[in-house]
Amino acid sequence: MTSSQPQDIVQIPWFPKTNPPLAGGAQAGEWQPRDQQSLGTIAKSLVYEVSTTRVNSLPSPWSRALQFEQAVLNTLYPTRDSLLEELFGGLACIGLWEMFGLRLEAQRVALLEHAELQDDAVGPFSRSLASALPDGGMALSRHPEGRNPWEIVYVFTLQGIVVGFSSPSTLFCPAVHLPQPIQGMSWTGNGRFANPVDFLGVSQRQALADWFSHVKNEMLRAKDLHSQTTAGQMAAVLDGFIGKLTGGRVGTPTLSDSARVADLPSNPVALSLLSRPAKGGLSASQSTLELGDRLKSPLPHTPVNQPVVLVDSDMPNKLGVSAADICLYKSATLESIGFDPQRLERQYGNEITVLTPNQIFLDELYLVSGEQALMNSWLPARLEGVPRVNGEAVTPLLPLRPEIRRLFSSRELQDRCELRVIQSSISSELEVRLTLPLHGQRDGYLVSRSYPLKEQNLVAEDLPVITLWPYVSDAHWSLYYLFCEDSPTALTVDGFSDYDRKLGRDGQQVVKYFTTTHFPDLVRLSERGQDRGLLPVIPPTQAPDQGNQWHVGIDFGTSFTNFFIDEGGGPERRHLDTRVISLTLSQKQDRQRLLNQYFVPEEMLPNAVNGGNPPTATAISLRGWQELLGQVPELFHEARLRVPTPGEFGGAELRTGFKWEQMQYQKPFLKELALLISATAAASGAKELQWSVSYPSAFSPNEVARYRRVWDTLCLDLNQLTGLRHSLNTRGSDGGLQTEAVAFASYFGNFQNRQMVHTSCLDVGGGTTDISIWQDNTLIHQVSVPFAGRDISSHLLRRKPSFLKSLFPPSLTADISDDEARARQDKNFTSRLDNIMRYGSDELLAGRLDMLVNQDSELQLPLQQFLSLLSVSFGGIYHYLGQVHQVLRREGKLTRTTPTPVYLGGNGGRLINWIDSSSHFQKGGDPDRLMEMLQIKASSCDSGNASTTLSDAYKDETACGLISSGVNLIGDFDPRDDAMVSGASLRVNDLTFAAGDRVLLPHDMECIDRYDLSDLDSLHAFVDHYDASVGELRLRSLLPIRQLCDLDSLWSEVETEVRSLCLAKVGKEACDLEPEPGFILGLRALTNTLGRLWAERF
Amino acid sequence: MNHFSSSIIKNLLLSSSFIVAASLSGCALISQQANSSSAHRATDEQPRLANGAELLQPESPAPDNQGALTLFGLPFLRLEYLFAVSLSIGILAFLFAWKAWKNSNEVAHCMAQLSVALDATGDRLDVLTDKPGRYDDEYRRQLNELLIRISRLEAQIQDQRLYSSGQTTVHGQASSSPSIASTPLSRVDDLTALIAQATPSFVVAAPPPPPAPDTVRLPAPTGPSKSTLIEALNSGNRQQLKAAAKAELNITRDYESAHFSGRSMRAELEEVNAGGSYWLIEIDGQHWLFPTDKTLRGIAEIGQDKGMYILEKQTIAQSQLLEPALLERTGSTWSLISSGTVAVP
Repeated sequence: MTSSQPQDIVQIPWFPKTNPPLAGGAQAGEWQPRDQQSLGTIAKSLVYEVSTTRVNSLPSPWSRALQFEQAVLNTLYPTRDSLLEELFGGLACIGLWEMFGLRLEAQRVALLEHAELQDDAVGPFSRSLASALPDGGMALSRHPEGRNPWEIVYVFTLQGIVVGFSSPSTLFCPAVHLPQPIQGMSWTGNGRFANPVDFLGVSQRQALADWFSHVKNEMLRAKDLHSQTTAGQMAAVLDGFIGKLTGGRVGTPTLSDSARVADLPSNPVALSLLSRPAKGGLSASQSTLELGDRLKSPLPHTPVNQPVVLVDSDMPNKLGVSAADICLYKSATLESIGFDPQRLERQYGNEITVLTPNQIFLDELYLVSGEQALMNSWLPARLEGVPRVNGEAVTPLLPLRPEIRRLFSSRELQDRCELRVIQSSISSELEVRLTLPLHGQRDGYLVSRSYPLKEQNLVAEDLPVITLWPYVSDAHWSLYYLFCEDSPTALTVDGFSDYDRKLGRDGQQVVKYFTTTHFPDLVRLSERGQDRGLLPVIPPTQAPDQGNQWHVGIDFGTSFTNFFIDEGGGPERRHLDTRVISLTLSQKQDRQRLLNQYFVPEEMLPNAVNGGNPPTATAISLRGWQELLGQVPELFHEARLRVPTPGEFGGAELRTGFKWEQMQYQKPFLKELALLISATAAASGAKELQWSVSYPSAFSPNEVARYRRVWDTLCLDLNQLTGLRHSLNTRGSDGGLQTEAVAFASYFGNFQNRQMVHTSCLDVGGGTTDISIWQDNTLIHQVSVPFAGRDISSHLLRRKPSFLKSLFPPSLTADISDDEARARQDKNFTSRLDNIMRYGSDELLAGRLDMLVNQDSELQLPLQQFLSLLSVSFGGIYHYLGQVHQVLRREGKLTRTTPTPVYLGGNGGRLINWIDSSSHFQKGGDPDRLMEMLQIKASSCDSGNASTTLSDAYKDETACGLISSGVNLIGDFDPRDDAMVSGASLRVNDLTFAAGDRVLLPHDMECIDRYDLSDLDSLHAFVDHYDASVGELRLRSLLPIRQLCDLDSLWSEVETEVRSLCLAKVGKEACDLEPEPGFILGLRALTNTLGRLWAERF
Repeated sequence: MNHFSSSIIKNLLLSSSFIVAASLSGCALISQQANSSSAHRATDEQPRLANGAELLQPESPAPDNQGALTLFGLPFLRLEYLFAVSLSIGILAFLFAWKAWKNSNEVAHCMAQLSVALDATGDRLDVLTDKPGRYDDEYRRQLNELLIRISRLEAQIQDQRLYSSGQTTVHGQASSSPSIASTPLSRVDDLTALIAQATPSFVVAAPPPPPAPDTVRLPAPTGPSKSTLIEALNSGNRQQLKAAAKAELNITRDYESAHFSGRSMRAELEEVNAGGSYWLIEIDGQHWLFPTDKTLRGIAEIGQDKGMYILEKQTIAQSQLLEPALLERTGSTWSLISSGTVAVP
């Protein structure tokens, strides 16, 4: 019932003619109600004729728009309610499209422009439309150019679906049919627009009501307002919508800041109002995760600045509210995204992280054999019931996806995870429940999944060894290691993107080392490259932040390295706790083997019950690394500290003796030791570690520089690796290093508060004897000589392994070969022997030695001679001490003319017990008197008390002394200014030194071309003094040297040995030359010769 | 692969046609009694899929001149229908017999386990044969494990059969159908043969011959021998040792401490729930200490053991147990009586 102008309906016979003709209404499209009788009249008057010349019935293309117009204007319009409902639904789409994350577009259609087209479709159709344009009289706005407002309309498409077009009189004319529902807008579901109220959340309803209110007000205030009537009626309709939405409550409308419908002009105003949708108020999200630990200490992929929004289709049931009322993010509700997380992702993907239950749980549950197969994990404690497969107990792995690690810590999951075995008549299932913390949800949001216990998901292989180090809170630590066996088919650890991985490989054995800067509280397990679940670790407790400083004294020894710690209460020896934890109950022996060989052992041996560790064997294992000559191996995958024991010493992978050679091993060894100590410090709440480090002055200048460099870089490394502050103690020492001689003296002077008025200290270590001489608390001389435990006993025993095996029980010497040649080739023999001594000396000295010495047997004579040879070695050291005294007296530094009392200690120092007939060194005993006499004879001083006090803490003295304070020991502690006393005639290149001279090599000396002893007079003197002393003291337990050899032939052999030792020094760079007094070199030659002769005799 | 897929589909269709045919024949059988003409119509039609496609027919049982047979008074009953009916009746009989048998003794439980095992084995065998060369070792291991399980189940079944046959004799009850008892066993035999073909290196012990029906005495269960277990360990068959083990053992802390520090002490071991490095296996009343395969490998790697085995250097690729150590119980722990021997490379 349309026409371009009021005409008689007969003249434009689009409808059947009537007879008699019936006049139309005054206004096209205007609804005029008639009674039922009128319809009957019309029906009877219709003329049905067949027309062959023109179309006489055509539905108006504008009828839909005009129906809506009527529905708005005429309250009696019969389909008004239905039409207004459609209009309501349609306008809701126009107002809410942005909130639903959709895209609304408008396309301008200018009918008159198209009407000119001379094609077969568009042109005729446009002309047809144009010819039947509705009257613009009821339009809301005037056309700016006074034209009919219906000439230009805009077709709206939402997500590409035509939803209607603009209507000058009703703002919008909804499409009569929707080919498909609009995503998330469930009121568009039945092919037409419906009342949207039931499908909108509270916030959305309010936002739409506010938008309607805005549209209404702007429409009424529009400057181009045309029909007051239409505007008033339309405003009433909008009020009706608002009433349905919010009961009439309107707030301040919030319109979109950014979203606009492109191509909609700013005039007419009524049309422009459709261009800007509602933004919606910022409703509190009901599904945003409340992150805790990961926000405080974010992982690399933790969404720190993005809310994590959970999308779960079960939310309406679980929360007891409709999907429309579940606000996900901003204006998006579960309803608005159509329960589709991907839509939320598309809509707000750059602002939020979307999480679904499927992204939390693994598809399958995997199991490992055994009931308590996991260690240091909270998972068993959170498991209710015992899951079984084929009747055997199994342990489930936590079936969460690895990505969950970036959101939650193990501690949080521990509080929020529950696992429960559910038995049914036909199967067993494991229900995993995870309560997610959501903003505003006090009790959290429960997501769960049930998994059948499947035999095929039981990891059949043995549990792998998986360990973690250090077990220290990451509030106090920076770098963690995860160690595990690697296997292409078995269960193993897989890393995360922020992990660094290294491999160790030895034959069939492959191990992995992962490093991470965060405590690895959730370990990712995989099998054949497929995720098998997480292994949650009980997080370490965070130590109270005490902020204190630890002072650590490190005595890096040839055989053993010792350390003392002062936490503030004075130096103490503290058992080294490795703080390594195992995460799987793997086979114990296999675990021990792997950890000892490739990583950090669970327990340092000897354990605290058996004497404790330190000292730690100066040894590392290179197992799994293909050694490259001279290359410094990295910790742990290339080298790691090794704790050899007599029971399990080690093989070709073991490296010892690197204090003096193969120094590239120093760094990994010291680094691990320092890290182990630091981990304990961190676990105790310490913030800073100050390292006091000793070194022997027998180090060559290059060795000292190198060692200092090692510690400098180590401190820098430690700063990075631990998160604690590390520094070298430079107080009272040179460049942070202290000589062992001074540190040793400090133990007696400071820690034990002994007098240092007229005193000598002898620290007989494994490789060097560090001598310091004190007068009135002032250091007057220090020297480190390369003659110590190894020279005293090891080299002897090495010559005669069968003799060694007769001294100690087979359990200690099982892997010592009887073959002397093999023993000589064994690079680790000395370390092996040191370990045997460490574990077996006490038992030997407790009675066995005495029995062997006094028992008439084949062993008696060689043993007696062996002990006498030990005595000769100690005598040589004391003799050299006397020689030094003599020089110091001559120089006026030592004023007293009596011999000095001696403090004797060190790991090698304990050997002096062997030569005491009581097996325990005693003041006034034979050895004590012998040493005193040798000192006197060598120094040519007056007689006097010069007893030796044996330390009660072998090997501890230097480490403890490094951090001890008390008596103000003074002096120039820099050994570079204190040249050694030669003790024998010595020639170095063109320089000649007499026995009483100090050996001071010029700085410009480059290469050692000549190095020899001019004569052996000093050694002759020593032998004479020694034998004389033994005679004078009437010692029976110790034999004179002349009874240990044929003196007539001895000296030629000693000369040869001296020559051999000197040649070893020739050719070296002067800065690489380890200083050695001439007498000590001769002493080495003498004892080597005597030892060889002894070994050959038996 | 295409051939394989098409054969699967064909088989599915065939089996579908059987089910349909069986159902139809059941209906026809019933309705024939009431109205033979309706049965005639029903059997005269080709079974069709919902979309009208003609179903594939079984090849052998259906002759071209269908409907010519006269059996049980059914003039046009087709051969496959008869076959299906007999199959259905057989299944029903099987189920009834199974149920009765299950109620009568526990053999059924073992049968069920065996059935599961057979199914699993069959599946894995498919994989093995489908992917020759891939994961050979692993599947061989798995097959080996399954074979062991099957062997054990067979032994149990045999025992249970003996037991139940004794009960049957005593109580005079009817014995279960031979076909039921023999079906899973025959699957075992078939499978064994298949596995023997697939993995010729395995030697599968044949199940013991069935005892005489009048035997009522139960033979004492005989476990694997020491040499069998040594061989199993040396060939990497962990499961056989696990199955034979009485307990898992680890050395005690005291002994460990003594061992590390070189103190002489008689080796002591304790039982642990998990993480054991050794198996305690009782053979003929004696308790033997077997290392786990990992422990055995570890001994080779470090060239030392914990004092339970004497190591013999041999020209071999990997360590091998020559003789397990002998233990005796001392209170709550186990002590070494005599050392074992391990050959190391």
